[in-house]
Amino acid sequence: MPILKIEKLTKKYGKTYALNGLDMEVKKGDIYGFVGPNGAGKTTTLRIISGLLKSDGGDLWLDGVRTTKNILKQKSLIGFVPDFFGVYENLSVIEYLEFFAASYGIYGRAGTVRAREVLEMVELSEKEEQMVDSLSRGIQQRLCLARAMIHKPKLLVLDEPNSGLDPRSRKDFQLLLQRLAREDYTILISSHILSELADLCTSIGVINGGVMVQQGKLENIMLAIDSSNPLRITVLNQVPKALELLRQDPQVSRLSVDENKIAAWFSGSRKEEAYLLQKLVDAGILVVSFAREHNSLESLFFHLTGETEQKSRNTETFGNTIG
Amino acid sequence: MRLNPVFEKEMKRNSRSSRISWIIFVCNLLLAVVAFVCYFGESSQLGYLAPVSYSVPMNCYILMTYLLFILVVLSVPAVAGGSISLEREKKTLDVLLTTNLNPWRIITGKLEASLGVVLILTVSALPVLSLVVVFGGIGLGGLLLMAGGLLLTGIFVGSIGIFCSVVFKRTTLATVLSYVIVVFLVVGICACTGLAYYAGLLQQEMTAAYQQIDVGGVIYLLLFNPFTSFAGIISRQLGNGREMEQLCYLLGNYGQNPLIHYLPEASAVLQLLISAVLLVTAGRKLNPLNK
Repeated sequence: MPILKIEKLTKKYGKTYALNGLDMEVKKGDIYGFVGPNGAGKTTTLRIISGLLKSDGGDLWLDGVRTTKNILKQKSLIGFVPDFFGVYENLSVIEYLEFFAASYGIYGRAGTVRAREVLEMVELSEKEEQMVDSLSRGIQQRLCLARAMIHKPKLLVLDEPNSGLDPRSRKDFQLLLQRLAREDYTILISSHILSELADLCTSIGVINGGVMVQQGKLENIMLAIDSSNPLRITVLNQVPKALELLRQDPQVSRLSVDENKIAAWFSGSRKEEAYLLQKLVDAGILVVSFAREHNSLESLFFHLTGETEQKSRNTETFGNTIG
Repeated sequence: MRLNPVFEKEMKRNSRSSRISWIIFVCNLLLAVVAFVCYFGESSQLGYLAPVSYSVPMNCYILMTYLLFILVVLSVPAVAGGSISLEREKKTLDVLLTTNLNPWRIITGKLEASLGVVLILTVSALPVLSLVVVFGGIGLGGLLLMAGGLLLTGIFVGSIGIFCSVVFKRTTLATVLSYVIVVFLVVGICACTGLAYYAGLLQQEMTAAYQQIDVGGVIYLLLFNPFTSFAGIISRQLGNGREMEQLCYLLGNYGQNPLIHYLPEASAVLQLLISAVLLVTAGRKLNPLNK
């Protein structure tokens, strides 16, 4: 059963559709990367999921409960970390968390105990007496995550959590999220740092123009996209024989060769790839490498959002990131 | 009974901010100066063995309570005017709205925090105010009634501040507008009534025959003035309780008009009603799902 299921979600600002029938599904235990270009509807979606915005149409289920008309249930199942957030002055870390515990109905001693639990989870136990406004941005981000977990939500929703963090803090935060995922938390994360998402996420959803362009397990999507890429084969001997064998295979549509490096456009499955390799080895050809050329999440993103990687690179605005 | 978490949090933060310390310090300093001038002035004129005039502590009490009223009117908008807009500016409002606290509880928590300031002011002023108890005339009940009057003023002024804070995104604008509205209600309405009376007086002088001054409907503006209800309470404590009514009959002939007869009470009810409307509207506006 999915933790989050969205069906035909719509949201209009004036005459413009921010979301135009969005479908989305996040399974339990997933780290779901939610990507899309600027203005695609990512933040609108996350704000609707978190109860900060009302949708104009569509349905939202959380942990099997239709929460479209049950905002309190929705809020109790979600822990939200916004892209920009502030902290209260004149409050210590533990008081900050106790306040949010009380906001979710966890009062007094129970609130303190839970606050200490989440502080331990984000490795901030030693900071509990420090004033929240004196903490660094990276530590505040962890505290914000602890705050989002204070009421034991089923789904953590993180909107661009890495924005404004230095590389060290980003890496630490990424490791923390991976650890939380292992501890049975489901995480929905929107980010424009695609390389980090690729390392972190188990599933991905690409939104463009208010609709979901593609979603599913990251490896399956990558595989589907990769299948259009050639097999890169390097042989040490009998290049003509290898080419002959490859040409005979009905699933090889095209070949190119550069000395002992062969590129074969092969449409078969992973298993058929293995048989092809076995055929080459059985023919006495010394194969030193045999692998499908991989796409990056970045190229997947550009592929799905209809932009070319080249076009984006030409702008030299974002480097390996998208806005 | 559980305290509102927003109120608890605000009180914790207020107790550590220098702003509240300054408000308490200035309030007590002013009250102490008033008390000192009144009592010292009286005793220096009469000498040690002369009987003390009982009107002195009473007048001193009136002065001090009115001063306390002014301090409440001036300090509550400073707290309430930024209550929501500051959360918005500091990017803490979204996170607050994702908790199980509904907008109504956030609003009431903020109002309670504003009233907390009134409570702190009143309690910290009690030692100075209690000087009057030594001379009699005012008991504990009287002091509590006066505190109730201040609380009512705090609710009204605080609701105005919170409403402005929800409607206007910038704290400066919200606070300034809160002050403008409150100053108009307290001073502006008195000025309007005074002007209407002065106009009546001029008219009276121009006509040969005696004519009762009549400010007409302007008198009803007093219902919106928080000072009307507060002065009514003090009048009940130290006067004949009809001073406000007598003042109204100077401004026109209102016959047996119950609104004029019970002006402080009617004003208190109206203030509570307006506060309720402002708070409910603020709560609705704050609810992200109403946008």
